[in-house]
Amino acid sequence: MLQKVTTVGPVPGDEHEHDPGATTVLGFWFYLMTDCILFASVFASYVVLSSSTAGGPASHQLFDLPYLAVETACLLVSSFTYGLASIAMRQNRKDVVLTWLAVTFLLGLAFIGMEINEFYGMVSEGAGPDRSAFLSGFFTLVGTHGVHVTIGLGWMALMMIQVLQNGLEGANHTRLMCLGMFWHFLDIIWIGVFTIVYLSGAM
Amino acid sequence: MSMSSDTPTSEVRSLYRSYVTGFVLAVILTAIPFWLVMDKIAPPQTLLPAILLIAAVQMLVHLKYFFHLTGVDRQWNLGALLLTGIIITIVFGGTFWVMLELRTNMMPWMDSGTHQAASSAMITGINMEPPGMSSAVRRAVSSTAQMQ
Repeated sequence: MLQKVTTVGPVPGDEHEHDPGATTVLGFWFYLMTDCILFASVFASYVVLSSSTAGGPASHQLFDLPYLAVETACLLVSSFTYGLASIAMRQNRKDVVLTWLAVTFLLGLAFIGMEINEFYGMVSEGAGPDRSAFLSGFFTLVGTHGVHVTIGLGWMALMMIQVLQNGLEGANHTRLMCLGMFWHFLDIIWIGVFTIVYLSGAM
Repeated sequence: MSMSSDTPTSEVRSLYRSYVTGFVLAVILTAIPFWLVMDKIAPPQTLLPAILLIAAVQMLVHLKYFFHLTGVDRQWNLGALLLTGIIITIVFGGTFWVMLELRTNMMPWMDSGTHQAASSAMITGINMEPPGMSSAVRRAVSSTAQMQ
């Protein structure tokens, strides 16, 4: 026991020779799992409150499905273009990585712009978060996702500067992998949002 | 998870295939529920379980083709995912269990919308609860009526 503790350097035949990057990625995965639980709670409260409209507008009067389809397409394509950036990173092609990151960023920006426009329209029609329990739940759930996407966009902008200055090796490699997981994760959450909030609400 | 720049082309090709497969499946699995709901292909009772099932499948597709949970940490990734799944089931299932029980046992008029149901619920409530509860129940009824 003691002997093992005092051993210096990698143990021969040890399967767990982690590089620090892999440990960071695993830690980031654990963070994403806790974020999942946050979203599960917000989803549960939304579903419980979704019929409490207090005489205000109901979900089927508010949601515009063709508009939502365009929003969804932006986020889905952005997830794919981030995948293309990840592949270019494996090939160490810095310019290609930067191009796909920029495309992903613009698609994410389009998504969040459409969402802000939708929120603005609802609030100006008197369907803001203070109107009913249903709308409080709606703005909390969709807004929490929107805040995550906005943070992801800020992170992506910083990563483009980082890659431009320091290339794709070392810490930047790990950071881009974490950002990729974050971005794909937000797309998975959006599947829940458009199914449980919008499609179920429009029926 | 290799940091080297000279990744073999076969690995790149399989990654590329994975992202394209995932993307095509995701587009199909997104288009189907939109089409089902927008064209009102079936009554809501049939549509709801269908679109929830498709969403669950799409989540698994994203997890498999976009995340690539491989390498030495695969077990830890899957273990954490499983634990999260259990917690989400408890949070979600527990919430609906409690809230549906609450609705059927405490507020049946919210489903029927008639005062008949409300008053019969009050009578049941008075019979079951201590006498002091009746005024509380009445207050709850009147405040709910105002909310409605």
